[in-house]
Amino acid sequence: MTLKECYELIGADYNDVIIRLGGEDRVLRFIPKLIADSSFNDLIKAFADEDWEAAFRASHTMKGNYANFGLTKLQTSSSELCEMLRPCVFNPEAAAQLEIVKKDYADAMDALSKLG
Amino acid sequence: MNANGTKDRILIVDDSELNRSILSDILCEKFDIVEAADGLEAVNYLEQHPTEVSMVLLDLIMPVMDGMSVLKVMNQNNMIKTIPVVVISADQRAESVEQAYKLGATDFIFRPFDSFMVYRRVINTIMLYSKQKRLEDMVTEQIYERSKNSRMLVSVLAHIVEFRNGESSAHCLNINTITEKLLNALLSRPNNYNIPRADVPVICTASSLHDIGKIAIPESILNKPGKLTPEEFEVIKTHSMEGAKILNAVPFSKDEPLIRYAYEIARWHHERYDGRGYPDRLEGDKIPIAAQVVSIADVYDALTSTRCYKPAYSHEQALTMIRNGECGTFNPLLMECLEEIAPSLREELGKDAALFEQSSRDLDTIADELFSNPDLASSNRSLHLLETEREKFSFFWENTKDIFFEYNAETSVLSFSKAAAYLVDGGSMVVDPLKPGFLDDRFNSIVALELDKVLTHTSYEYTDFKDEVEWNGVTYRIEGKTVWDYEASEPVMTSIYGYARRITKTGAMI
Repeated sequence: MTLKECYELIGADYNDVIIRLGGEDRVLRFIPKLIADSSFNDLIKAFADEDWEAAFRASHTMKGNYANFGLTKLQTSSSELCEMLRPCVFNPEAAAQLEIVKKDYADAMDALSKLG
Repeated sequence: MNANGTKDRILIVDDSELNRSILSDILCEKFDIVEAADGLEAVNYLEQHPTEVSMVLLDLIMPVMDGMSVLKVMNQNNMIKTIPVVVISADQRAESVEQAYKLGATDFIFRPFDSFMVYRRVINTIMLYSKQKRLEDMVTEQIYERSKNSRMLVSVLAHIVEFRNGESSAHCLNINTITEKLLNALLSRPNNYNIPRADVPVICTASSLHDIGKIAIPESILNKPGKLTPEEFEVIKTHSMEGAKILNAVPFSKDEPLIRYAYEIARWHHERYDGRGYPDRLEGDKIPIAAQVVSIADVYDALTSTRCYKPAYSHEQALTMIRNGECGTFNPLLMECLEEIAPSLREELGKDAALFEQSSRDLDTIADELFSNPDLASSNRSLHLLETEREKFSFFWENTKDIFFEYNAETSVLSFSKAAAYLVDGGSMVVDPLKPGFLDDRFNSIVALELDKVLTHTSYEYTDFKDEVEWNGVTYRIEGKTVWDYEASEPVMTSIYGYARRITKTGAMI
């Protein structure tokens, strides 16, 4: 799968990321790092630990990262989660939103890992 | 590349490794990159390398210490004035942006960022700051030159008067020192005089001209040994008015603070607080405060110096005479100041430290001028560093048990650390040690001989030297370094420094 195909598959903005990061080369070089990035695991762990401050920070990092890579769908869901967690207290809405983020994350990672 | 031909260093502060590496990838070709994973790491790095970072790229939301706290610390230690901070954050809320700008951030880049924009903004920010820094350096340099030149001219004038007067040339320096101490003591207590701190060095310089009117007094009266007749004394008394006339006749710059203060001081430094002085019999605070201060300084120094008509009194005798009103009445507030500075006066005056004194006062003056100017204040951290280094240096110089020496090629002064004082008779400073006829069997001579050798053989390619010399049956190892100014077309040696240490016959250090 090419980067363009992959981005179309997961509802991401290919043209935007190519322009902003200055070419496919840089995007491709950093995607393995994006896959290896720990913020998603940090988020899951923070929910398990009920550490809402850490959960906010993790969602904030995710939102920024996905925005940078033009992963529109995942960025939107993690951004919404981030705003719900901003007060750093438990929020039942956030727990529901987490499930959406999990699904978008799985889809995105699945497609990105199939890049040729 | 910056002016030194090295890459500017950028500190990237972000808790996300992914972000740091993307930013680093964008910038590493042009810049030297250092990364910090949270605010605390960043602050530590900045504290340890205060002059090496050209710019900070700062994330806001981070564990341990967040971006706003980094900005707050940089405000406390003033680094925000010299190191530009560009915030990179996905946090687009107006209150965050506003707070970051209020805390001194130079720019704000929102995420998702555009690599080209990041690159351009970083370059522009660094260029802007280095341009400003260069301008500040030029201004500092000019302030320094200007104040140095005017002080030099003033001291030439003052010395002409002193020379004719048969007074020691230390008189002006002493008056300078006492005036400065009195003014600082006065400024540190509540008072109604509204003296701007920046005027202190100006008043000190102006104090040198207090007796300039004596140029108009016949030498036969000025230098008459023994008692003056009442008529002769009346002639002497005209010197304050004569001085004022001279200064008033200065065709331009009458509004310059230096000339204004010099006028006040020359005309009224013999007025007394109770109205019994001369020439105008002014009373109380009708006498300008600068003149009041210098009148005390003048009286104290006159009492403690030898004059053609009197011996020198001791510090204690002089103080007692002033307290008893034997030299007229002074402002009670200034008397308090005099009592406060009295212990330091005894220590400081008469010390043969005039050379060091003057140069350190030069530095203080620049510092004062700089700090009094809000635009330049604190922005010039290098000056702070210089001050700190100077203080550190003099502390070690005074307290080390080793024999260190330094030869300044520009002034031809060879100085020794305090520990060497017992070996180097005649004080810890030697002027022109290399002139013929200076060399004898004293310890400073063996150092001077060594310097002579170094000066003949050294070149900027070999800055280190090492030798063993014998003196009074003891072997000393002398080791040192030559310092060169590479700015000139041909490198010029500016100073030599090093140490001398006793060693045993086998070469072990003692």
